[in-house]
Amino acid sequence: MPDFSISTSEQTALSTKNLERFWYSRLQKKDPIARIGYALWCKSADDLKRAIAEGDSQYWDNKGFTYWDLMARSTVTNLAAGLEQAGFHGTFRDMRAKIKEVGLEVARQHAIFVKIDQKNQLGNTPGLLSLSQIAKYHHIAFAKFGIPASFYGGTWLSVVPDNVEFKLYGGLYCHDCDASDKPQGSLN
Amino acid sequence: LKKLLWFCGFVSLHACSAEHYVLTTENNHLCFPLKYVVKIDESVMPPGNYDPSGGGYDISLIFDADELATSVADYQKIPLSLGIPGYQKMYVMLAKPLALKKIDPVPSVGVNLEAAPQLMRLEKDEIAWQVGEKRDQGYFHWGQCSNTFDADNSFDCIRDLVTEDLTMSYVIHEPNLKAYPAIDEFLIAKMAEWRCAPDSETDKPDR
Repeated sequence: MPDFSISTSEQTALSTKNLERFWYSRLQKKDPIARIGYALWCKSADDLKRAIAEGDSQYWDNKGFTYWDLMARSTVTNLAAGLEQAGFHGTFRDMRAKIKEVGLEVARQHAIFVKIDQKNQLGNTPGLLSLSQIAKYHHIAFAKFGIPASFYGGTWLSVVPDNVEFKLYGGLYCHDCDASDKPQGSLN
Repeated sequence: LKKLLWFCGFVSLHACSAEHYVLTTENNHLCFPLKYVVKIDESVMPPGNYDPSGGGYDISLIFDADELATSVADYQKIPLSLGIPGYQKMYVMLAKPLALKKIDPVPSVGVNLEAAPQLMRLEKDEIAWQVGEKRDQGYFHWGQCSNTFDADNSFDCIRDLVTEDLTMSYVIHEPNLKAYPAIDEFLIAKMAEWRCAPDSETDKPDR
């Protein structure tokens, strides 16, 4: 049976706010949510391409970089829209920082739910979460920032952001761009 | 509509499914006013090898900080994170009742929580460490807490409130730990208020 437990190094990655390391480790365990997590927080597009190319194609749902890049971009767009709905307004850099805070809370909640799932032997596979559990921990993380629960799933697959939203927020999805003020996008 | 809702509020077992979301548990029907309901959307994630079961009912409840502050003694409203104006709502997950077993704390590990001395930290982990509640017969599962990894070494918790009919797992922050008995009472009273007569509409079963 695969081991989905939260390792000591994953706990350390969370405590040091290293999202890339956390999700890369989860990726190695074939945790399905790690595909989006790593796409969001990997250091470069090349890293994501490499992970997909070297990984199990079934795990990646037989889809390539373009698909997972779009998933991550949609997620960032949705989070930015949700934060604005919650009343947060800031510069490109402010919004990037805030999205990272949301990302850290989502990752922490993921770890919490995995541990509870494992301890309580919930579902069929200890430590592997159901779609219901994943939705719930996103809601919990979002509540911390005032993002309405309905923003979970405002984009992925069901409702892809429209062109206006992509134009507004799409530039927020970038790797190694925290030092820049406004590489793309239309935020102030 | 106001008259209908007024009537419902004064009848113990009512049927108001048009304005409510109906949850059918093993023993009861609960009619939740829609403003409290968060439906769980499972169509969001890309296809993958998720666990097909686990996680309780496909509905959660959410309570405004203002209502809690008004109804629960000593409840402190928790500000939204990092400077966003406003206060955090309380998220409550619903599942079948957990079986609560007596726990024997390991003396070298067990530490009573400062904010609520009847609660004891039972594990040294940083994430999802179990907390026991002292009762007459000994310690029983209360919930689990996790470090927030913020600079102030704070933590927050998921309290598992178990009744005959449900487990209500709610998020609670450190400043409100001492108010958890009152939060429990508030939720139990809400469930009693929302019990309703059997109706044709039901939600998805618990998994």
